[in-house]
Amino acid sequence: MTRASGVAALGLAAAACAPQFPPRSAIFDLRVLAIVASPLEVGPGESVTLRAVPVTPEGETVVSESWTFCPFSAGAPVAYACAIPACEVPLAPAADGSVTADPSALALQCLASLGGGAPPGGVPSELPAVVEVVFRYRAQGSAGEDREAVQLVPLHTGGPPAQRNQPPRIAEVAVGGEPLPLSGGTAAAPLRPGGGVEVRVWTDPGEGYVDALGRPLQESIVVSFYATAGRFDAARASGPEGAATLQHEEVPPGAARALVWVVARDLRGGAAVAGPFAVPIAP
Amino acid sequence: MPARSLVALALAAASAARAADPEPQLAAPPELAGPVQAPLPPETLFPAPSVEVVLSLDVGADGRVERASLERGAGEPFDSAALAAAPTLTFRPARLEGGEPVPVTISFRVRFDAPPPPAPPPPRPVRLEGTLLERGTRRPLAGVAVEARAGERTLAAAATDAAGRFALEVPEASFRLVAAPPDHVRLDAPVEAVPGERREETWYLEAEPGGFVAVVRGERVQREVTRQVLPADEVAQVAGTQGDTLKAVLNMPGAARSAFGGGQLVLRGSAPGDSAVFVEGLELPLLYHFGGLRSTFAPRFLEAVEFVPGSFAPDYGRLTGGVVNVRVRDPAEDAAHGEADFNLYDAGAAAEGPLGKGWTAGAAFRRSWVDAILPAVLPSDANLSFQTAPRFWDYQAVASWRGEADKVRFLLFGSQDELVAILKRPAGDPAVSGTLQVDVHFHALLASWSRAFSPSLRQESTLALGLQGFETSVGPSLFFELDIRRVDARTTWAWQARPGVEARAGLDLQSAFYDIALDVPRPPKEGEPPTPLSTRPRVAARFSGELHGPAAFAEARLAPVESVSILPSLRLDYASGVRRWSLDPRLMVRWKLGEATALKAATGLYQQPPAPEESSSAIGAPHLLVQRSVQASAGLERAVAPGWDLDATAFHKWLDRMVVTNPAAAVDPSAPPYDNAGRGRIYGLEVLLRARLGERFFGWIAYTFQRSFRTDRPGRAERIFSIDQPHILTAVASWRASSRWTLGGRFRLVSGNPYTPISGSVYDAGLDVFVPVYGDVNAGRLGAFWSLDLRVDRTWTFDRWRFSAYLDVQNATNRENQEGWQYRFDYRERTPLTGLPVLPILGMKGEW
Repeated sequence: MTRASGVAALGLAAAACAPQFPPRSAIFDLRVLAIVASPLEVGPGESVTLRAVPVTPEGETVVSESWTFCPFSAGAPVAYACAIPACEVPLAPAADGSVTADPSALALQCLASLGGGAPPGGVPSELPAVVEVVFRYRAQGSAGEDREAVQLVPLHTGGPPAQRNQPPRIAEVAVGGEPLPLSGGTAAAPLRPGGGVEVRVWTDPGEGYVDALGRPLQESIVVSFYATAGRFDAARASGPEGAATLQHEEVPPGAARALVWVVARDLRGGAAVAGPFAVPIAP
Repeated sequence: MPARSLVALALAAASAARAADPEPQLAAPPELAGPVQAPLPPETLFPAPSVEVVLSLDVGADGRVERASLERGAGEPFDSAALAAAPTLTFRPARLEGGEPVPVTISFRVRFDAPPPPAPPPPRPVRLEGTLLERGTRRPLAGVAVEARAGERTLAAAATDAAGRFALEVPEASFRLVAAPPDHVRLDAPVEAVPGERREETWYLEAEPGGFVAVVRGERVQREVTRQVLPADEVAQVAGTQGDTLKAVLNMPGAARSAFGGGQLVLRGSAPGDSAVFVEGLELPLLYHFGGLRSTFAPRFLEAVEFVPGSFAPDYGRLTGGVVNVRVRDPAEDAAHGEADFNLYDAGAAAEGPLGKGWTAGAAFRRSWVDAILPAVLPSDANLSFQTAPRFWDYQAVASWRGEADKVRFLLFGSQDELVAILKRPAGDPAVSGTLQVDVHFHALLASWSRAFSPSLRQESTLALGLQGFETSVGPSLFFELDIRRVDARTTWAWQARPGVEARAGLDLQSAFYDIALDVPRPPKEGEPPTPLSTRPRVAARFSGELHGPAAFAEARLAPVESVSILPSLRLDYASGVRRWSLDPRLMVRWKLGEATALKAATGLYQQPPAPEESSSAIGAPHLLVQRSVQASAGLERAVAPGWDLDATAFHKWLDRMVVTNPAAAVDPSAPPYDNAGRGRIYGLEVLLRARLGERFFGWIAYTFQRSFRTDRPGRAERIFSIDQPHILTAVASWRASSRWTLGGRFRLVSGNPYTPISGSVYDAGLDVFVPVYGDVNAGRLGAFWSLDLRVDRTWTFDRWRFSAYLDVQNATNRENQEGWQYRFDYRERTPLTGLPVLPILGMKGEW
């Protein structure tokens, strides 16, 4: 009880004290905005296709990308390191940069490679009912920085789930009150010194699902905002209608526009990306 | 009034009454031969002090009065009295020269003298019934000699009774009342009374510096190698703790420093859950409000706090760390008393007093008040709003009855913390969003009965009923709901078979009936660096159950010689959560070398069942073993000078069967989440130099050197314990400069805590969080912590009440002590997270 209430107090303190670091919504170096997987959960023999969404500040590019797959991860405490490093295999991307893999086949291949010996690192000798396999994406930007991102995909070894999780859907994005195509566009409203431009996002409501206690729950859709110039007043908003205002702060000298992206997530592995939306910056 | 009418007689003149011949000459006049009796009526008023009546008497030759007449009267009743007395007069007759008697006529003056005024009655004594009370507190000053003096003469003397009352019969009405109670100003008060007056008066005598003298109920036998007792008055005065029940005692050696707001009880390098705080032997379910702000057991009825950092007596078990026991005093039996106080954190009130028939009772209540102003000062653009601002309250109520050999006491106490906040937007971890709700409460009723059946046989028994609730939720999906009904019972019997041989035995029973529903991220174990909440495995379940922990213990005290005590003991425990028995043998030896020095040593086995959440069949691993710790310690106590005591103890602890996370569970959710693969070792040295100089000063210097290590699994490298603080130096002092001013300070110099370095991060795209990439566990160490806290108390004392105010300045030098690191969202940049800046805390209190 002591520990939990202490966590609550510290959480409040953390919420009240904003750090003096650049916000997560600011694209000041190479970032991976999302990894879009389809499907979000797989059964035996099913393949999954993943596509990363890396972005860079204007003038920089992604110079290299790579993918690997690991069937058994030791979890977040070790940054999703592969429990059996030898079983982490590279994946070859397609022409559009996406990768496709059959997790169950790769997992069985891993166990088979052990030659009947006891798996190390607590890995079971037989596949459990559900394994969260790890797809790892690495990218390097032209400025020399690198990023690593993972997407965990539940593998149901007993068969595909009866009700598979579906990704969220962004229905509409309006920048400065002006609806724009989800694939991107240029807003008419400029970002002026001392002013701001609102970015409003509408998503479909989250899916209903049943949790481990059998409780019917509704997904909470979270919308994240990103911009290459200026500062959003909030990095996230809750769906199905969320908004944040891009403010004329920390604008690099000479910047003519800010590129804006929005990402909707269901926090169960599903993501949808819209953008980039160009917001002119008034001198 | 014949007796009062003294008749004086005088012969004014004499002449021969019947001398026919002039020749014979009168040779001798008649001479009064007997007393004159001339009674006056009672209550005769004299017109003058002396009244004369002149009679003319014919005195015959035989000397008898033959005739009397009034020659010059003085009025009645004097004339009649004189005439009436005349026939009773007898004379020696007048004689001629020849010697023959002759009759004569004489003038005879009868003088009546007024009787002297009656002697004034002795003055009636003054009856003085007085009371001596301490000024401000109205506590009776008992056993004080009181004298009534006139000059250097003592007119009367008495001593005050338990209520401070005395009675004097003073034979004079003007005197001085003198009394000199110890530690109080001398009474020397003039009294001007009316003779015979019955007077009641109360004198209030101000306490002089020396108020740190506290009556501490102590055990005759010391059962632990290290056991420090901090009386309530010292607890109230330690700088930097604002009189908190627990924070003061954690300045003793062996206790690790907690960061501000962190209420971890880390004793001798053990994990916080391995030590516990008890209130009169009943485990306190929640130590601090909101994790570390204030102790949930307010100090109003505090008698003392006992601190045993390890190697504790067999009365306690189920722990491998240390024990802190809060002792509660009985309510005041002299008179009704009360208190109201207000400080930065809370405001409270208390009342206590006698109920009659041997019963006393008291109650205290306090509540935080920051919730009243927090919504007003929170910026409107903050990502947080409160439906229920953070608030806490707690209460304590005591009722006691004391007979000749029995004592009965009821103690009711409880606490609640409550908070409902709304995050307007998802936080850094988007799983933390929506409504945050915390409701933590407990209530406990402890009934105790002790009886001394004979000088050699006594018992103490307690029965406690408790309710505990813990409800918290974050958003719609994360929640934890726990309701517990507890029954605790304890009985201890002590029998002194003969001098030097004593046996104690007892039962310590615990039962808990609980309902739990949860869906929460599994919390990391000690040594596991934290990751974002949403990345941790979730634990979801809803079930009810019960846990029972019966235990029996026995201890012998053998003193083969007066200077040596040997205390072997056994404790047998059963933990129903894991269905395992454990038997703990322990031994303590104490050897006094003269009056000033004692050597001491102890060793023993201490076993602790896994935490309920670890051994639960629903969410944990029910086949876990009981954790073990073998402890050994040895030390020296020495009275180095009057008022100065030195206590030095070296210790070593070996830990095994420690519950750790099973790494297989990260891959296979069906694998047990925990196993007993952990080991550890802890060693150190504690030195305490404690002073009580005169009655104006107390203080201590505590130094602890300790190292604590863990090995999480066989084959893994040994690592440093997460709260390993090799050097802990604490100096505490409080000086009562006068009855008005008290000055205090605390200085702490402590090694920085270890931390696990972060080398980078991985972005979890599904959860939109960055997961830190950790280096070796606890491979880094924060800079040393030092802080100076200052405190000044000012007291205004009135006859019947007292008002005091204190200013407690924490971190008076505004030192920026690093408590951790604060990271950028992707962990690629960091800045030191510093603790409290200089923080003045003002408190005030009125007592009557």
